[in-house]
Amino acid sequence: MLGVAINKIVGNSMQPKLPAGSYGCFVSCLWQAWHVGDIYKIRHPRYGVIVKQLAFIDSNKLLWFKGLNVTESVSMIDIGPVKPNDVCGRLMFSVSAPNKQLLQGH
Amino acid sequence: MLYSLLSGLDKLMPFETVSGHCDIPCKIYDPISAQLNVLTMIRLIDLIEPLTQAESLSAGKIVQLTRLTSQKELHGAQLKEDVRVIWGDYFKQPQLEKFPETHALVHSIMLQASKVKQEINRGDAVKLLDLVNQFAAIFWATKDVETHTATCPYPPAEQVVYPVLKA
Repeated sequence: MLGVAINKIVGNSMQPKLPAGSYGCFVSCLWQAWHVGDIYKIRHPRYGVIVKQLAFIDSNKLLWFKGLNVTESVSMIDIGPVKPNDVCGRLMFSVSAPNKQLLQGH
Repeated sequence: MLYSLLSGLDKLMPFETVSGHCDIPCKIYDPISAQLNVLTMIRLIDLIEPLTQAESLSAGKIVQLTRLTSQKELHGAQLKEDVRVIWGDYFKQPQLEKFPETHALVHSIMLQASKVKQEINRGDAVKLLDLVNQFAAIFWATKDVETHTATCPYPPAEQVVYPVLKA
């Protein structure tokens, strides 16, 4: 709706910024340029809809993403290069549980 | 307050979830998949060997040989992946300090698996099973789970290390 979506985060690979059980507000049309370090929602052919941090942009304009929790996240190599069209939103803000209780992911 | 509001809305009208995506599924590791892959390779060798001894093969037998060989290759690659994931993702400093031989053992498994993929040698495949069983024994020991060795109740009926899991 209006290019804005609220999604619930599952899994622990984006801790500490996005613990499992938190909510993220993503916009799909209001960003002008890619920013390394920003967090995006991706429609991945293998992993479904995932949320990851943009790590770098290669010379073919393909995007490479990584998790924030390196001990649990699937690796950048496993995610592989992502086409800009497969990115469906940029994280604007997130809301975590007040007591920081980390809910179990999948 | 905002969290409570969103959480309440989520219960009424569930939001779409996005996965942080761990190496699925989180913290679930079991060497049985690697052991099953070696057993499959041994079984495939048992099926391939009679075909290699025939003087000539019909078209049907050639197709069968091709299929068995390609499956052996696939299971070898999957075995290596299974072991690499447990070694790379599950084993961390505490486990490696307790079992410092793990690195050398995993490297031996990689080399032996390649050898079994390249050739049709049952002895090499049984040796690979022994290495993977050692890896499984170490894995369960890191979890303080006892193990026992038993003959798997299906072909190729080889010795496999299993965890002793009690209710």
